[in-house]
Amino acid sequence: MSLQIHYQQKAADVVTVFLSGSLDSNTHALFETELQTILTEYPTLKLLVLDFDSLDYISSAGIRVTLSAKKKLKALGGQLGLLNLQPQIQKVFDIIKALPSFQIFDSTAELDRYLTAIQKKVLEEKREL
Amino acid sequence: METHLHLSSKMDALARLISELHEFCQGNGLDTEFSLEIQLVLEELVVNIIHHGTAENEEVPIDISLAVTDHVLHIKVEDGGRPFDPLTHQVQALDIPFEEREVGGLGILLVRELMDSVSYCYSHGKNIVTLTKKIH
Repeated sequence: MSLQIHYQQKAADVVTVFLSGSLDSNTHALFETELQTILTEYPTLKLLVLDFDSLDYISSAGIRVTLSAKKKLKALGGQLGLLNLQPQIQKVFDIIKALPSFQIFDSTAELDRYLTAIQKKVLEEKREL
Repeated sequence: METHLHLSSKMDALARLISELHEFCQGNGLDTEFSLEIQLVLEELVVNIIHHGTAENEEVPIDISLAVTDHVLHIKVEDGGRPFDPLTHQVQALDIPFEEREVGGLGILLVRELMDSVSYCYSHGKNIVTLTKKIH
């Protein structure tokens, strides 16, 4: 029941958070604290991606903190994405029917395609001005 | 094979519960996926007991027994907290602002979906939750 978190900027206004271990009733507060740090460091954050590749376990406390993170991003005009959900993690989201609330990326390649498409759209909009 | 765990209703009791649970599961040939699901069920139930069945700083004993018979895992979770039936928790809609109750609602939803049967009774001053899950 331990959680390791590190994060890095992926692109302009896009940050990826890597979570390893367990997001549960003991560790959710750690994630909440880290999230506050990230939001302070990146006030114009548009997309926060939670990379769950090394997350082996999530309980309702973890789902709750993930949903709460999504709300915080939304309040800032941003989005939350989930990446690389392991089957047992996906199952928990499925049971709670929380999946539709999130942008899910099945792979880093899919995330990269999404970001490229957004950047292209932004450039096109700039050209039209 | 049967095992009994005796915990107090403190959050750090969960860590001990988990290591003993996984030892039990390994000893009974239960795979990782199965034991992680049982870990989740027990975490949700114990968290509910701590949040709803006890006052702040109050510690109550929690007894958990696990037994495997005829390819079925039987679990019994008994606590000495105030009468609290976790099964009566309604699941809140996901866009309602979060409160304690919502955590409990989500937890019980997971417990119901992951176990084959769940029942509750209050007897001799104890909340008793009984659960079963078939082992494939």
